[in-house]
Amino acid sequence: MVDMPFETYFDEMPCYVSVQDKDLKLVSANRRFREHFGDIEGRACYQVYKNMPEKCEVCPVERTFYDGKSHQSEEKVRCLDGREVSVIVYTTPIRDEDGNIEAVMEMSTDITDLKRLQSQLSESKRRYRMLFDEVPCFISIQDRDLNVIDANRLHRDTFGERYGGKCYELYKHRSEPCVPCIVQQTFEDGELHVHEEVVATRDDRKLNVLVQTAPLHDPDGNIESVIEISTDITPIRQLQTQLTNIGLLISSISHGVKGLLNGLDGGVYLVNSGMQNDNTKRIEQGWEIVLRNVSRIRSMVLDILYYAKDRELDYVSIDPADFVEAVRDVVQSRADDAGVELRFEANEACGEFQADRKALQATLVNILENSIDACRVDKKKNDHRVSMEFDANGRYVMIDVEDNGIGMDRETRDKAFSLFFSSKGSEGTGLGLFIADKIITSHGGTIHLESEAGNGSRFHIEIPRTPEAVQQETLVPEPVTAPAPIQE
Amino acid sequence: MDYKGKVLVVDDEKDTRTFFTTLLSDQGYEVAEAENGVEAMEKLETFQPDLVTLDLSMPEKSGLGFYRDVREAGGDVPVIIITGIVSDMKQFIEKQRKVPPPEGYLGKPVDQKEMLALVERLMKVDTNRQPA
Repeated sequence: MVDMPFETYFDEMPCYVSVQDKDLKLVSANRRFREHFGDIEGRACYQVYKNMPEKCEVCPVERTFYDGKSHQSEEKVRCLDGREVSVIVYTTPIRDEDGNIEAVMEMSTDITDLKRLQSQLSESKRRYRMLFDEVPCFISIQDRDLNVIDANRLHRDTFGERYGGKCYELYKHRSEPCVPCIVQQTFEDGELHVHEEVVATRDDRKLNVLVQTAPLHDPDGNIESVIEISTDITPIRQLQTQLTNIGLLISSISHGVKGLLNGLDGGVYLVNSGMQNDNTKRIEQGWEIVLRNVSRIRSMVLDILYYAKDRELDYVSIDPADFVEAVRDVVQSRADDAGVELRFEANEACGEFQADRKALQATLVNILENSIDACRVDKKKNDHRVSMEFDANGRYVMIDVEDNGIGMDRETRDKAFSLFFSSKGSEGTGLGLFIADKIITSHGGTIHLESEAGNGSRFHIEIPRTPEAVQQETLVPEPVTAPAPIQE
Repeated sequence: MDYKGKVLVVDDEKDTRTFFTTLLSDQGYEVAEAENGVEAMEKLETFQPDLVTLDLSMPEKSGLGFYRDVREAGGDVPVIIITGIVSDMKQFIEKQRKVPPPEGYLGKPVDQKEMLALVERLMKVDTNRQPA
């Protein structure tokens, strides 16, 4: 062991060491202290360190004089060259032979580099948090029990702030984990996984999301959590659905147009051959076919327009009695051809109401034509009728369309208002009832269908009497009147 | 005009039935109509056609159901499928593997000459054929 005097140890200490008396005057200091802070003769520590006229508010040296214990604090001091240095200060009492504290030794370690690194780390954390929060995806961190232990801002805004809750409760409002659960898969195999899900937001909107998971490891390489990043692909899915529907629409129209062309060809053939043979009856028959098919083309084009374009409703006052007759004019010839009796009636007490006349007429014509066709193909009864009744109460207009045609089985009934579903074989485009439902819904109304195979069908429509009533309806819902049983 | 035999026109579209019936009658065929598969089965018994023109997409009993039932029962009346839905036709071809394929296909709108030529070829028109 090298024999060195105590003063040498004191001087060579790689930190600032000083001894202070009760007045905080510097009694002694090591070489490093003197080099960095200058002459100590007759000066107090606060003058030397901080160039202050008064002692610091909290002084560890003073506290050590007071309680005889060591104390610690973090300070910023200024060197002779003007550098500000962060130090961590430790104090310890120096006692005389009687055990009285005659001085306090203060040892200060330069932690400037450490503080800089701490500051950089804080800044780095802040930036990481900002990136985490601002990424336009839903990001969550989940533990092995599928608890959401952290989430970014978009996630919190969309799904709520329920940290600690299960992800499946948060996303899907369900009580069991999803199957498959790619977070669990990532915990099990440490691999990245991708899956598409439909999740529910805090306000119950449905979102299509593409979910990706990745493991987060602790310093020992164990998976301590899993990060889940979900991208909202709802607009893409909606676009895909629209494109699919356009494809189906084209297919449906194409099919319909082929049938109509065939009908027109037939009409033209009958007219031409009738003219060649001077057969007036055949000419009339052919001309009726031509007219009927032209009418069907018009109807199909209107259906397509209603489907393709969300138009603003054009509210006008409608007199039910007058309206019923206008609808009868459109469907009478079809009913006559099918041998179906029409019974239309508007309750006198119904009074005028407001609706988009053209749209409502298109709706009723669609439903009535369905009813007439349902009667036409029914070979089990001799007499067929289709009835339409208008009634109203204070807030609603109620329209019932009823037929005693073939009726619908459950599958047909369930799909009746679905886009491109038709039970009418070559004659149906699958647009009519879909559009009817769309128009009634846009009026703030409802359509209910009751039907049994072999026993006819009944459509019960309710629409608010005025557009103002539609808005009131959203505030004070009134129970919808249930349709009466079908009369055979 | 020579009697050329019996054709059963099966289609749910009234205008189409009227068209085919008139067209074929003008050529000397005796024609009966059915508007769905159920009615077609009945007419097969009562009318005893020499050929059937068959729509596929029909309510009640479809053309596919009718065709399968006829073939599975050993019926060999020639059938021309006439449909406006190409996918239906393809689906039909796919599904009827267990039974012999139909004798002809036509797409709507039907070309009159093509239809008459196909009917004539399949009927192998016998100029001596007489009404039943």
